[in-house]
Amino acid sequence: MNISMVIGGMVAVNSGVLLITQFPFSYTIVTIISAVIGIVIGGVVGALFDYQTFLTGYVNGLMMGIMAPMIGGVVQSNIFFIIFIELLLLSSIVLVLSSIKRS
Amino acid sequence: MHGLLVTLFLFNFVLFFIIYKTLRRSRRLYEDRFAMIAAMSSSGIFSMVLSMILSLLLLDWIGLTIMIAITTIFGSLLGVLFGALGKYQSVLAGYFSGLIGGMMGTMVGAVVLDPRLCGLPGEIASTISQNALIMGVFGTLVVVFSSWFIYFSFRV
Repeated sequence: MNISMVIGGMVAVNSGVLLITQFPFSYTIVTIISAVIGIVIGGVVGALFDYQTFLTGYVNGLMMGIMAPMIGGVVQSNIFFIIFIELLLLSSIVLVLSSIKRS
Repeated sequence: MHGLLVTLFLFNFVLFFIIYKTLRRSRRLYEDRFAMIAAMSSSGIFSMVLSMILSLLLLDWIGLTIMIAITTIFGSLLGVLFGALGKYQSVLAGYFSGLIGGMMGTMVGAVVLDPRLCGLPGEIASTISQNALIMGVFGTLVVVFSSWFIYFSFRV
């Protein structure tokens, strides 16, 4: 459950910020695309385990994907923020891999 | 545009009542974990989409501050309503999820109506109404799919 929440949310935030940096004129389409990416990633990772885990990853990916283009619009394509959010994704992947190995 | 948005709002409200009656009819069969996850997911999605369509409809008339107050109270009430089918920890989870969904839905509606709030370039009026319609239809599609998933989760 926690693995699907972390992976779906972080991938959705990354895709939303990068897409709104690249295409700042089309907010609506970017929001829809990043929400769909979050739904698919969270649902696929959650469906490895259980139906309720699938539901949790689905909802969390949807929320994060809808929130992400607002963050990316506010920071106005700052390169340090993009590097920071890529490092956040990398660290969360490392954390998830270590938690899989520990359990 | 307003007529179609009112129609989508009523459709979402009817779906909310159907899901709530279905969850209430079989509330004796729950475990704690399923009650918590059902309260979180359904209250989050329904409060987000309902407050998004509500703010697309009413934001030009009553302003952002009163709108956020109204939708936050609405979302937390909806979450408590869904969470009260289980035990007290599911009330807490549903309350929190509904509150977050209400705030986020209002912000999405405000940014769609005026993209300059987030530092994005502004748009002309016809494009804005078209975008509002696209977001309403997308929210309705999300509600339909997720209520189908929640309804299907009783069988598993």
